[in-house]
Amino acid sequence: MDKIIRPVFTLELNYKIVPGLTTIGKYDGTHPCLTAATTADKILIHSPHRKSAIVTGRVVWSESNREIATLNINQSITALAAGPLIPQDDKDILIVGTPTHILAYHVHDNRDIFYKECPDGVRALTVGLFHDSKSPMVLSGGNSTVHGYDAVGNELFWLAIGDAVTSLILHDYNKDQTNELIVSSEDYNIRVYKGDRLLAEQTETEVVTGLAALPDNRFAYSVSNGTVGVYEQDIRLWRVKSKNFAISLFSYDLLGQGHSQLITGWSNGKVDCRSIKTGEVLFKDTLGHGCAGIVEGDYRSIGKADLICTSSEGEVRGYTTTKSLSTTPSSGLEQDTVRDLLAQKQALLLELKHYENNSKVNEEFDRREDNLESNGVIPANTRLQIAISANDNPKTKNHVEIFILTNNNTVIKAVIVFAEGIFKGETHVVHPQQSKLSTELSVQLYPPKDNPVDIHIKALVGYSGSNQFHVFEITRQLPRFSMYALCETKGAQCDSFVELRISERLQRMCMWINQNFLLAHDIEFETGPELKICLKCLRDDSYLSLLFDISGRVVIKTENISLAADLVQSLANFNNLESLETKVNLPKEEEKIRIYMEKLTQIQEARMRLGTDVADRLGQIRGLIVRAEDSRVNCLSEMPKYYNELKALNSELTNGYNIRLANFNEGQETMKNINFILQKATRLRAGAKSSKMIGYCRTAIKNNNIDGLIKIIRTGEL
Amino acid sequence: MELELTRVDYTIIGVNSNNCMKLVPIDNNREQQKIAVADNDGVLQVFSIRKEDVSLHFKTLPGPKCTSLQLAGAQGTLSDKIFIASENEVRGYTKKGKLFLSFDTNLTEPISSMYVLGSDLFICGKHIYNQYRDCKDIGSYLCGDRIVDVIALYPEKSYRLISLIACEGRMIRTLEHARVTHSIVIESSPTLLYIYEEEGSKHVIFGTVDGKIGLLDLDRSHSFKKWLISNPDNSSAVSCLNCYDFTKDGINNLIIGRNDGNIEVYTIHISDPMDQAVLIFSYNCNESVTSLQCGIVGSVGYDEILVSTYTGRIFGLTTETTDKNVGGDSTSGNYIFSVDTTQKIIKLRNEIEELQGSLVKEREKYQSLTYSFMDDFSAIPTLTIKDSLVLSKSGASYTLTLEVPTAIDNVLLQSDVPIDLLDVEKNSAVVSYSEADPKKENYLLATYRCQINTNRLEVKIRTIEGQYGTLQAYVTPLIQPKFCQLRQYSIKPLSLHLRIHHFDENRPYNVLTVKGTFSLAEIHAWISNCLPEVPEKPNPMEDTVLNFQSAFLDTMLQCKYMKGEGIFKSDNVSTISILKEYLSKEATRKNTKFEVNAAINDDSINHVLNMIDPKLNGHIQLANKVALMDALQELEINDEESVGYLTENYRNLLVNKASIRAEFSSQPSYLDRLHGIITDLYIDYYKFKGMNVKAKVPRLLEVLQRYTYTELLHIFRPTYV
Repeated sequence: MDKIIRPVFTLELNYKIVPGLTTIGKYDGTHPCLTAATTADKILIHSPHRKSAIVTGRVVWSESNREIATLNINQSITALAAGPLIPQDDKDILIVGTPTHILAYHVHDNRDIFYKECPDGVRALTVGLFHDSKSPMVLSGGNSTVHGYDAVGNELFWLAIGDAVTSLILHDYNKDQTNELIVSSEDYNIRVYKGDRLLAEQTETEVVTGLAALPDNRFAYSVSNGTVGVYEQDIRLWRVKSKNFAISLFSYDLLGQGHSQLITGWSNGKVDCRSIKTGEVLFKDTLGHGCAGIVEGDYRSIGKADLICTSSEGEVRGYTTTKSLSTTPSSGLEQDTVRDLLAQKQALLLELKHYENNSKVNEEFDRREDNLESNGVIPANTRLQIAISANDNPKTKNHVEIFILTNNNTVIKAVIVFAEGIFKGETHVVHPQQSKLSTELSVQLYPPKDNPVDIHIKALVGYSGSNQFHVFEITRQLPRFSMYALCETKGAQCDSFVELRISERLQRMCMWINQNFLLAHDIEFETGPELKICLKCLRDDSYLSLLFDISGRVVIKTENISLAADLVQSLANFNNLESLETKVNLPKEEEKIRIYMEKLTQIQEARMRLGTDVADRLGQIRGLIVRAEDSRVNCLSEMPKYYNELKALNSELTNGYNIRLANFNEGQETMKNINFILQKATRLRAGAKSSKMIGYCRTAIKNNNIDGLIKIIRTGEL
Repeated sequence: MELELTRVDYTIIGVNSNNCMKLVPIDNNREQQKIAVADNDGVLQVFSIRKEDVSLHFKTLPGPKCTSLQLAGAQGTLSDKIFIASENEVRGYTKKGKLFLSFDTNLTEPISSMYVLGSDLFICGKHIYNQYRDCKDIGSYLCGDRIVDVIALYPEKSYRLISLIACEGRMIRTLEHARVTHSIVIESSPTLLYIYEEEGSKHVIFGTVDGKIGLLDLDRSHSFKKWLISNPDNSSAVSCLNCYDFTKDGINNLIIGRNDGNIEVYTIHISDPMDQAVLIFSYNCNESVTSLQCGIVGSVGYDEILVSTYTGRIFGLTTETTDKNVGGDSTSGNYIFSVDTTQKIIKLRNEIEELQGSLVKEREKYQSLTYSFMDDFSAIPTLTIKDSLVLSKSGASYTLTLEVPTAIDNVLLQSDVPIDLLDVEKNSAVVSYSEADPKKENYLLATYRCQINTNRLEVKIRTIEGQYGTLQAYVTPLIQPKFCQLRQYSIKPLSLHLRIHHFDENRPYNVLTVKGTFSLAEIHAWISNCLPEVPEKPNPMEDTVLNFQSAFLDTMLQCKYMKGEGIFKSDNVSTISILKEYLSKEATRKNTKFEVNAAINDDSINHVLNMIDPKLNGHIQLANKVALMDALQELEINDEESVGYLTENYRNLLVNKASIRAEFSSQPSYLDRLHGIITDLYIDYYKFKGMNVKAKVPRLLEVLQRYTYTELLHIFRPTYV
């Protein structure tokens, strides 16, 4: 009702800020400066505590506002971070990412720490201690990899992610007093790495856009469909969904509770403060425009950090921990309690009324048989039978079918399926025509990925003329590999396989199959030397066969590397395997990687050539301009000639640029494809084997060792 | 001057209708007043507030739903007798709870509104108006329109009792001795009438479905005088009005309650023609307000607005500040509740515990039923859902509101006609569109999953004229046992037309004449299925004439019909075409002999295109401005100095950027909509000429891309010079 926390300061930057690109740094070692990227590709540094203005160089101080400096980057800014990078120097370094480069800039001394080309692009940045490095490291997430650089720009760390990185944080995930790297990427995943080793992986329902570290090994995440949630290690504590998107997440103790709350800045300008444990909204305020970022810093020089919220129109609001909170809203709060209780009472009374009415109807049943159907009165013992199966029917498109049937003459008016990630929105509705209402109904689902999905089914049951229906709610879980059906024919033999050893009883393997596949009957192992099942993928009709030997040998035959990786990971998880070694023979993927690597070399060569071209042209242009301007004074009739030449040259340059752009994009795409395969290949192993492999891959790529790479994929060794 | 009011919740009652709560007046206006309230369960209760808690004076037994509660008294005494209307009975109670009147009106319709003045009783059903004096019938009037409210008064300088009825068809009628003396036409449908007293003089004001308050002039011209309040930001229907002097300046303030839960207080001087109403307080309670009353309720000496909402909450907005409760050690974070409130909370908690206890038993009983093999039934009473689908003139779109007495879990919208859902800022529900297959009569399948504690959902819908069918809403409240209710709304062929009362005769009209063996009731039914706001009953005596205006284009339509004949005039060929198609289809279905004749006036094309022209031009300009704005803003950011060199025009653009962008985004795909209408017009026009021009449509669209009026007209009428 009332705004219980008022901002302690507000100011206008008068610049438009790109949402998500804000940070704060103590560039002189003591005073925090709010730093943001503007829509005009400049970096804005707001230093309210600036004493002297004799800094020159990259930084340009604004004429109109003495507190604001801008930094021209001349490339679009994709990521910003600030932090102490140089050992034994308490001054923060500003790190700027662009689609092709990474710049580490010392704002106070006005010098570049390093400026490096990043062919993979920079999409997310963070600074901190990680891995076995003693000094801080810059971690930069690109289109398919994460790189780590030290204070002079040496590459210390490399990791293939498989898709574009959206956010990076360093956080003590498992309470071992060292930082783990949490990476979110566009393939809906959140992965936790300790050094090279993958510790955990979570799959969300949409692209994960942001991450924030919270105290007590928790972290918050936001998803592009408007969801915000909190994980405590690998357990999700809560999540909420809104029709707006979270831009920024931050942890701050706004309410003076002694521990921090999660502060979320939303795309519609709302800023809310939630309890980390439950997600309950404790406070909210609204900025005039969409939120661009939330940071924390001692902006009033009082020795305590304030929460600073920036809107996309440049409005800045500072909030601080408000302990005296309890005095102002008490009356509001007790009235809120009364209101809540009244609402609760009302709901209970209504429910009670419903039951009373129900008994009344049953007692008076003989007398009023007439309009029962239209009021949606159904026999009390109405039940819904539900069957879920992978439907492999050659006539229709393959799908997972949910078949629902009532046990009497009541009909199913409509079915709403709530689930995330398997259809466009969050619901799938089946609403048959009035004339085709019947006691049974089938819902067809097409899960696009191999993930376990919880589906909540709401079936509306009544009679065709009813205006009120009973809602039957059912929750089921689709197993991870639900889009696979048993096939009778042994299928075309394929020579691609993954072989591994798991010393477990075959009965346990059967358990794994029954839990993870959607098969008509449970598989049971009786006797024999081996257990073999043939499956067909309903998405692309490709074949998959699983062979479990009594000696512990497992052979997965498929051409699909992602599927093989998913199966290996699922098996490793199921059997709690610390480390798993596999033999891989995927000729198609090997061929692909060979092609991509060769293509990459070609692209790099082409890029070198194109670069020299530009230098030539620049010289010509300079010459032409001088001559054109010269003729303006001396011989006006000559001037158009030079300008026409200049125009031709300009269009040539534009063409050249387009070629280079295409080359660059192609290079990035190829890089991404390679990293995708490598990432999947590492997932074909588990534990220490997998992290060792990452190291090998990095060396092989650096040396452009194609055969080496293929060997790594095959054996996990170089 | 700002007003500060604090909310205090008192109690809950059942679901209730508009105008069912009153404060009982007392001689001494310094004391706390009693509250009289009646709900849909038929319970009338009178209580007062003692120490924030309810102390009940009396309560009647449940019965049929109460539709109106009024206070009255013999002339010269206090109006403290309570009258309630339920079905077709009126009962009177004293404030002590003694039943002194029980009067069966014997009307064929249940009472929907009532007014009591001295010994005169005015009762209205849907279409019947009836006046009684001392319970003796002294006159009645049958109205074609639906009556929504009635009041009666003795106007100044006159001793003749007049009554006013507000009718849905944008009309307020004044009656004397049950005869209509004047019919006052107003712009939008009224929802209620109210007598506003200012400095001893009485003014009749009314609220409308689109959220405006208007004033009537009853002394001289007997007509609409002016709008007092027309808030463009809030167009939710006015559900109750009250006046009270909060500002203590001797002049009453106007207090408004709306369907979207907004409560607003205005300062206003009605007698001053130049005065502007000023909003001094506004509060939203998220539930539709059914009545509000001002007086002294919670504690002595503090003015208060007492509000009842649809779901039965009774709360006050009081001038008393509740800060007095603050105390104790504030740093520890413990909240110190005041004694009264603590008591109340404890009491409520106990009640809830008790309820939960009995619920557990009931739930078990219900569960066990579902396992039995007997022929038992599972029945859930029909939940009262307050819903409306209203066409708003601005934006030419429909607003669908659904309100349930308990929290909503989700709402499924299904439609068998193509319609567009527009985002409503107020609505926090998460919408999800499911793939819909038009072949299975599903053009739209959308679910709204509501956030917790949402009782009300508002959705904006845009329809396309000519496409008709049904919109269905399945509302599932968050209550056990889970059920959902189906609500159906028909989307009519000419869905964007509004009833008006003045028909502009000077336009070039196309005329559609139908003749056949149909009855008056039949053609009336066809028309009411085709157009919104058609009165339920046709005028049996003479020709029925109904006038309509398109909310989007302002074109007009006149329907004049009787038994066996109908004449339809419209300046828009498309309207005529839609009507023709619909009527022929209905007539063929019924196997009636039917003859259609359409006279197309070629000049109407020029006329309609002329009407579209400013809209089209205006929007093209707006789109251009927005396109320019991005470039200008880039300049503004990058190069502050150069902004000074820009032309006046561009600088103005930059100054007004926010408003221009807002205007642009407030009408999404407006241009497409106009283009669609022009295309339809083109096809319909040539269809009447017996030509199929579908193949030429791309050419038309091409012309629209680089629009000029003359060129467009040339496409329509190549021979016209």
